[in-house]
Amino acid sequence: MRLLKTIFVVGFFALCGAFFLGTGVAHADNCNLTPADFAEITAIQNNPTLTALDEVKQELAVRKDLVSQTIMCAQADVATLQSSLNAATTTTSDAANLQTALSGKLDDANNFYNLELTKLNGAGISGTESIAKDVLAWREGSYEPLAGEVNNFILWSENQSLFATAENRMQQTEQTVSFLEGASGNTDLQNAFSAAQTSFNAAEAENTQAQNALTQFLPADQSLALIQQSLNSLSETYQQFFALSTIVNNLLSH
Amino acid sequence: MNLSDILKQFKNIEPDPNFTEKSKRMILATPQTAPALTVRGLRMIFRVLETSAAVVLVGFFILLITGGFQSSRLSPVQYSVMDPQGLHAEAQAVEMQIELANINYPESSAAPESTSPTAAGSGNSATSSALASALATSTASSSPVANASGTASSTATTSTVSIDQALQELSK
Repeated sequence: MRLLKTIFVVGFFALCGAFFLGTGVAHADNCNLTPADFAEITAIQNNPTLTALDEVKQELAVRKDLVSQTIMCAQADVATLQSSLNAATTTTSDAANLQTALSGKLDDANNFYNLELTKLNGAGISGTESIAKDVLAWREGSYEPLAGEVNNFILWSENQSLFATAENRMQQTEQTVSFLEGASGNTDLQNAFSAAQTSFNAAEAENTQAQNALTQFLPADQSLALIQQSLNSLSETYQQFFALSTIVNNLLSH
Repeated sequence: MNLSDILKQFKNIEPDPNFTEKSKRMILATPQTAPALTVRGLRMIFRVLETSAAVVLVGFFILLITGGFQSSRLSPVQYSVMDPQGLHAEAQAVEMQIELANINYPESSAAPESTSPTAAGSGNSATSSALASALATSTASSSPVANASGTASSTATTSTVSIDQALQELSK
């Protein structure tokens, strides 16, 4: 009895393993479509040995398979993007809400793909063509802008730790500069610090504008431009920090 | 009787029971005068202040030890904030993020690019060449940042067809 139980349990887990392994392989195959896969359609169309009916049947089967594989690949793409989105660290409730909203939009995208896969069941050759056309148009009009927004949000989230580090450095630098300025009377220090503060303020303002652009779901190009501006201003801040560092080191060495 | 015996007898001396009872009653009957209210209030305030001061002092030392005043004026001046090596590492992280952001622009604009369609049934070689040209000219992708970090699954490589290219091919 115990032996039977063991065999049953081992068999169950082996079947589960095989199932998940099989699914994984299938997913990998879905995203590896090659020109040869599409050439199969033309080969069927040009095969003189096939009757008209057989040709239609075979072409339909191949087309359905290819459309299905392509949509499943697109779904895998959505899953990857959603996984990256959910892994992004948010520090404010606004950002967390935006993350949830974008994740919901990706869920909608996945539902759209599921709907198109369902349509495929009763479709003929022209039906599969129509589904492919619809999915292509939807991707261009809806999914690509959404993917752009999600990618921008991930990029913006990653930037926040850089801004926090720079802010901390700015506060510590202010203290050091104020002490050294009092002790040495060097005005270059204050000027260099003011320049750093100005560019950091600009960087923070652009960072906030980028967040607003993301929250308002403005076109991805606009939010990306603001993110780039904020990073450039932050880079400029570090250039000012380097200038400050040189002045401080000169003062300390004398 | 010597002096020692006399002294020993002193141990047996007891007060008069009536006197004892009377004294006891008098003591118990005397009203207990509580300290003045103001004095009690001051004592209470002093105790509260004492406890608060102890708590504040402990908190202050904890913050001082753990570096809680690192960014305030109470912390000692740190010349290490001007350390070029630390600055360089942070600046490099910013530069890397700028590069990552710049990758978005060309790939986003390349995404709509697609194959030039060929007539259906025009032959095996025609379809293959259309796809081949598409592969050569387009790197269409729907997740540029993910691609930049090497995690996207839909990137068109030299041997595979992108999602959009596949759909384009299947829609004709």
